[in-house]
Amino acid sequence: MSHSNGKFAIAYVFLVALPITGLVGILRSGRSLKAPNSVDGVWNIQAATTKAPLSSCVSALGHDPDTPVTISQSGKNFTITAGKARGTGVIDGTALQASLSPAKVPAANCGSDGSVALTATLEAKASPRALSGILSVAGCPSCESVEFHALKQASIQKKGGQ
Amino acid sequence: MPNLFTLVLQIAVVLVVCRVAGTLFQKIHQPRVVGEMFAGIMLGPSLLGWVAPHFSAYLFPASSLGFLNALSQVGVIIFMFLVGLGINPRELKSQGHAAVLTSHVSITAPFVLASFLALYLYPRLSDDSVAFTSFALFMGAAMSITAFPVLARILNERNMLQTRLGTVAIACAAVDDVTGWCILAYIVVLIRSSHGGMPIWIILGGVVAFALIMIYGVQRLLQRFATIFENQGGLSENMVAFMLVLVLASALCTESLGIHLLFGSFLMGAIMPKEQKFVRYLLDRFETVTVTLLLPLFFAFTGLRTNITLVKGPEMWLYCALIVLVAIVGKLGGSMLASWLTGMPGREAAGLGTLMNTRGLMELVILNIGLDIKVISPALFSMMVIMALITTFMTSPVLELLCPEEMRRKEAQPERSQEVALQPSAINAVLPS
Repeated sequence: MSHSNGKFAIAYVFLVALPITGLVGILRSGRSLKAPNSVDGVWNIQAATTKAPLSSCVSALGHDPDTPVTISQSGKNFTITAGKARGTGVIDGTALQASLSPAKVPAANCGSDGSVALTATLEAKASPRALSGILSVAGCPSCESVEFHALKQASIQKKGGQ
Repeated sequence: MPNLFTLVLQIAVVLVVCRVAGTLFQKIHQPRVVGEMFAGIMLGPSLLGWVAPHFSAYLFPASSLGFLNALSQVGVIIFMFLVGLGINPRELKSQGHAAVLTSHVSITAPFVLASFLALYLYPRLSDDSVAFTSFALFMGAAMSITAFPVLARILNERNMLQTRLGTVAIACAAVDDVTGWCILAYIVVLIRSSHGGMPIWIILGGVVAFALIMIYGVQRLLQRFATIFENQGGLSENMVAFMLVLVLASALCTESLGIHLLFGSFLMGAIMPKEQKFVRYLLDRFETVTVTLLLPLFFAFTGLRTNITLVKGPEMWLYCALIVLVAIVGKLGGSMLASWLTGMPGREAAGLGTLMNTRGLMELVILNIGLDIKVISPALFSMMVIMALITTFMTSPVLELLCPEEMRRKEAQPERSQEVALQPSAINAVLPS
C-alpha cells in the first residue's frame, strides 16, 4: 500500500467508517424513545347524544355529521378539519384538546365567538384507534355538551411505521 | 372529472408567478430555480392562503389538488430521468481519492448528525405510528442530498465548471445523489414492508434484480439509441416517444416493486449512454416542457403543502434553527473538512462545502416523498423546506465571498480534457437559466 493510499485509508476510517458505527448506536438508542400517540388521519365521528342548543352551534361549524374529520398531526400539535371548520389542538398522552372555529357566523347563544371545544380521550390500544369525548361551546355555560365517539379510518396511504 | 377551468387557471397563475419570481431572483444573482421555489411557497398557505384565504381557496380548492399533483409528478418523473442522464460515473473516477473521500464524508457527516438530531426531534415532531429507525434514516437521507442540477447551474453561471473546485463538486454531487437515492429507496422499502406489504427481503431482491436487468440488459438496448443517433444525427419522433415509454415503464416497475416511481426514472437516466452530444440532444428534447411547465407546478404543489404557520412559537422555531444548523454543519462542514484533509486549500475547501450544501429542488422531491409516506409530519416538512430554501439561497452569496471572480478566473483550467470540461455543462440545461 502506498503512502497516499495509507493516508486515504486512515482518513476514510475516521471520517466515514467510524461515523457509520456511531449511526448504528444512534439507531439502537432511539428505539427506546416514545413519540406522542398518533391521531393523524381520517376519523368517522358520531354524536352519542344530540341536544337542541348545541346542534345549532355545531351546525355553525359547517360540518356535515356524515363527513369524516381529518386530523393532521405534528408531534403533540395537530390541526383538525371538520367540513369547513378548522382548528388546532394538542395531544398529551391519551388526552386530546382542540378548538374548532366555525365556518359561518354562529347564533347569538353560541358563546362569544362560537368556537367549539373538543375534549377527548384516545383509546390507543384499540384497533382501529378510537376517540371518545365531548364537544362543548366555548364561553357558553348554558349550552349543553355533546358526547361523541370516533373511529379512525384505515389509512389508504402507507405510513412510516413500526 | 377535473374542473378544467380551475386547472388551466392554476397552471397560468403558477407559470406567471414562477417566471416573475425567477426573474427577480436572477437580478439578485440567484439561480432562477431558487426564485421558482420561493414562488411555490408564496402560492401556498404560508403567504397567499394566509393573506387572502378566500382567493387561495378559490384558486386552489382542495378537490383540484389531485390533478395539479398528478401533472407535477409527471414533471418530476421526467426531471429525475434528466438528472440521472446527467450523472456520469467516469467523472468521479477522474477525480481520484480526494473526490471519493469528500463525497462519502459529505454524505456520512450530515447523515449521522441528522440522525443524532432525530433523537431530539422524534418525540417532539413525530408520532408513534412512525418508527424511530425510519424517521432517523429519512432525516439522514434528506439532509445528505445535494442538488446536483442547481449546483451545476451555479457553477456554470460563475464560470467555475472547469476549475478543480467545479469538477470535484460535480463529481461529489453525483455520488451524493446516487447514494442518497439508494438510501431513500431502502427507507421506502423498509417503511412499506413494515405495513403488511411484501417481506423486505422479497422487495429488496426484486429491486436488486430489476437494477441488474436494467444495467446489464436494458442498458445495451439503450446503447442502440446512441448508435442510431450517431449514424443519423438525430432520433425520429417515434424513437423519442419509445424512450419516454421506457422511462415511464421503468418508473412503473419501481413503483410496483414497492419503492417509488422516481427511482425508476432516475435509474433509466443513469444507465443511458453518456456521449456528450447524445445527452445534449435528449436534454433539448425533454427539458423545455419539463422545466418551463411541469416543474413550476411541482414547486406550486410543494408550496401548497408547506405551511410555515405550523412553525409557530419559539420552541418550533428552535427546532427549525437546529435543523438548518445541523444541515449546514454536516454538509458544508463535512465536505470542507474532508476536502481540506485531502489537500485542497482552505478557501477552496470552504467553497466546495458551500456548493455541496446546495439542496434545492432535489431536497423538495425527497421531502415530498417523505410527506407522502408520512414518515415526516407537516410541521417538520415545512421546517425542512425552509432549510432547503436557506441552504440553496446562501450558496451564491457565500461562494461569491469565498471565490470572488478574480480568483475564479485565475483558477480556471482551460487545458482540462475536453470530455471532463464538457460533461457537466450538459446538466445545466436541466434547470432554467
